Amino acid sequence: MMSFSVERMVDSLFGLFEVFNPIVEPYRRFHEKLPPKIQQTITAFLFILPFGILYAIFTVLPIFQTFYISLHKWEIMGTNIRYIGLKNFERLLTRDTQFHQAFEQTILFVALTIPIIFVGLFFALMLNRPIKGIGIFRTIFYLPNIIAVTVIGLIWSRVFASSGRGLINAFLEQFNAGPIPFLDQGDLATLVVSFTTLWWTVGFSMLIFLAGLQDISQALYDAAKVDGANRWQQFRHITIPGLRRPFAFLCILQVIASFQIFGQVDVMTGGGPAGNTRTIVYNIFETSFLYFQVGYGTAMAVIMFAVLLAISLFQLALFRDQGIGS
Amino acid sequence: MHRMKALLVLAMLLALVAVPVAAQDATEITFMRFFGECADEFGETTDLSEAYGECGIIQTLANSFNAEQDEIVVNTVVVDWPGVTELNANLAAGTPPDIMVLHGRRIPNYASRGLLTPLGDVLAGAGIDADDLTDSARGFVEYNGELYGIPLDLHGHLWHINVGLWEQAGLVNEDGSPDIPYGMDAFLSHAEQFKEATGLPFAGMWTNGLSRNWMALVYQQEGGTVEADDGMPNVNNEAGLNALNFLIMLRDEGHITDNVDYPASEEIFLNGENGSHVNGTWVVNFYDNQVADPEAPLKNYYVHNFPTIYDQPAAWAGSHAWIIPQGGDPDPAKLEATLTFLDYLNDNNIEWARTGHSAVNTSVVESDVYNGYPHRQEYAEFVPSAVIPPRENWSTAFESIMDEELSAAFIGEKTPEQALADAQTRLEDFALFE
Repeated sequence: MMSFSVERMVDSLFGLFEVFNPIVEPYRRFHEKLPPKIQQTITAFLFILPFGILYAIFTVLPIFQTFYISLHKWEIMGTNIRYIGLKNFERLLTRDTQFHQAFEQTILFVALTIPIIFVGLFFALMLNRPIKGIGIFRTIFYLPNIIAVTVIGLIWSRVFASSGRGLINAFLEQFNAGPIPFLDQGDLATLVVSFTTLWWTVGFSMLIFLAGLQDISQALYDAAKVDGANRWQQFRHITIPGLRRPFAFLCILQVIASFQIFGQVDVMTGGGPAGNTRTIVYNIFETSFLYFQVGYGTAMAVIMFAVLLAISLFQLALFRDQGIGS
Repeated sequence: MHRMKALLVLAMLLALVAVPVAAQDATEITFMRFFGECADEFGETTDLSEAYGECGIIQTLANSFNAEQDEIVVNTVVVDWPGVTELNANLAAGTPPDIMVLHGRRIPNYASRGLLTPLGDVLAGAGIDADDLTDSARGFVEYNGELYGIPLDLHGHLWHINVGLWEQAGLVNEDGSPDIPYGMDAFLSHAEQFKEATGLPFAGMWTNGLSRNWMALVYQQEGGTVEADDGMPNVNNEAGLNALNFLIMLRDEGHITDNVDYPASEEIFLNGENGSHVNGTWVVNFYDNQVADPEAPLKNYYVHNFPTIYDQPAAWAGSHAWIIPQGGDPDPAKLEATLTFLDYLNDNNIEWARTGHSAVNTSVVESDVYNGYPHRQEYAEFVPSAVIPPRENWSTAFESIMDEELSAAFIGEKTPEQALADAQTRLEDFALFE
């Protein structure tokens, strides 16, 4: 009777690759004749090649396609495709008040969610202590970050629901207070979506800062203590400079992520009330998928790409001047 | 080693071949729909008399069709309301469903792009009598004189009433039925009397989506319309301003509950926290079941046509319709199977009407069974007063743009005049871009 084992199955699978031997063997003989440096370079490229091909197909090509589509009237179903030059951009920049409002709203979200970085720093400092069971707390604080945005949105929608169905308003009702229209008033809805974003993503900032904190040598703190530095002085002159790299990294990532905010808006407010929480990406989604105008939607995406590129380059230049990015 | 390789290759080949062999006995069709997911409750139900509510009935119709024959297998794909994102994505990918439910007002948008199968020539062969369709329902699925769908229902907004609270306010007739007001003065007088007697708002509606109620109020006015003679949008007009000011006044006077979304507005009504509720035909069956539940606060339920505030009755109306999208690789066997299923759905239109929606076949509308459904006679005037949204491409964006602009006026971010002017600009921009 034939016995099965994992090793034998793996051997068999690799055995299937023997069909490539007629190509591989001549190349191997050619490869061995090359100078070692060139051999290494080719090997490195061959290792990168599979990823490179996928990256080109699924990332680079769509980027160029986006530019191409943005110059067309192009419907999502592939109907009525027509080259219209820069007309999408003209409409976008001169007449589309909804896009202008969405742009302003996105900037507001970016401004409101930047503090996530500092909250993450605060949590990282709290959790960077040799306390028993600290790993459990670190896990708890990071946990929201691994939950899908749909779930996050639904949870906080129920917490902040405007009527007595909402957890907070149900609590307020017990004291004959409220209800507070959290999701039905523009400013409040913006704050609620920002808070939800903070709760969801602060774990990531915390994790990066935590890694940064553990990278700072304990010897620096010991030396500072010997020199009589107090806790604030240690934080000011050792911790903050030591965290400049993670800070730069998070600043860039946070701005990009906040510009791309979509899921929370889609689930919690649908861009409302009265378009008050409509962001650029949500606007792109509405325009492309609901109104069919994917050519126009990609023109918005191109504008957003340009803005994000400019901001990221500015941030990189700024940090490089401070000796962080080099 | 060679034996193992041979086994592996054989296993892979079997895996590739086994599934098509098993499936090739029956023609499989993809049935895409919204109405929610209820497989937990109705996934195995095939007895239509056991089904209730939109989701339960439609799920059971698919189940019973699959159970009654073995030549066609209907695979249900549930999508989020209103399903257009999924439809568009599938059309773009060349993999549209074989049959799908779509709101009738969206049909011109797809039909004008050649994305729907014209049904005029194929229905008779499938046993579907298109002449049996009511005129109002037929209007939703026709485009340029051709049929592009089979309507499932005519639905629209009604006035759901908590008779117990109306009685408390002295607003019932001698026979115990609610004393329905006609005209603005009578409506406001009732609202005042109700508020004084109960301390509660007279009515409720979801205030983050006012476009349907606003549109009904526009059409209740002499000459009121949202469409210009040339087919372009026309929302910034006197009738529109009157309707919007009336809704804001109701809120300011405390006659309607404020700042509520759809689920909250429904919950407020069912908990007895207001006297009435504007909602669709789709909840009649559900609310009626509430009364049967001894635990539910709603004890005495009545449903009437949408309130008449101005010169004539008018209510927002829509239609769910079955469509057969075009795209991908047309397969005659699949089309035939789809039409067979469509015929089955159409034959069982009376089951769907139990939800509260109006039936679309004259033979059903005139039947005793249909007219004997609970509350059906209380809103018998709904169909004659139904207002169909304009049959223009910009209708697709009408509801979302109007909801947003009306909401901006309602929460005080814009004046009513500014909101309507902005809505007009946005709708025109959309219409011209088309």
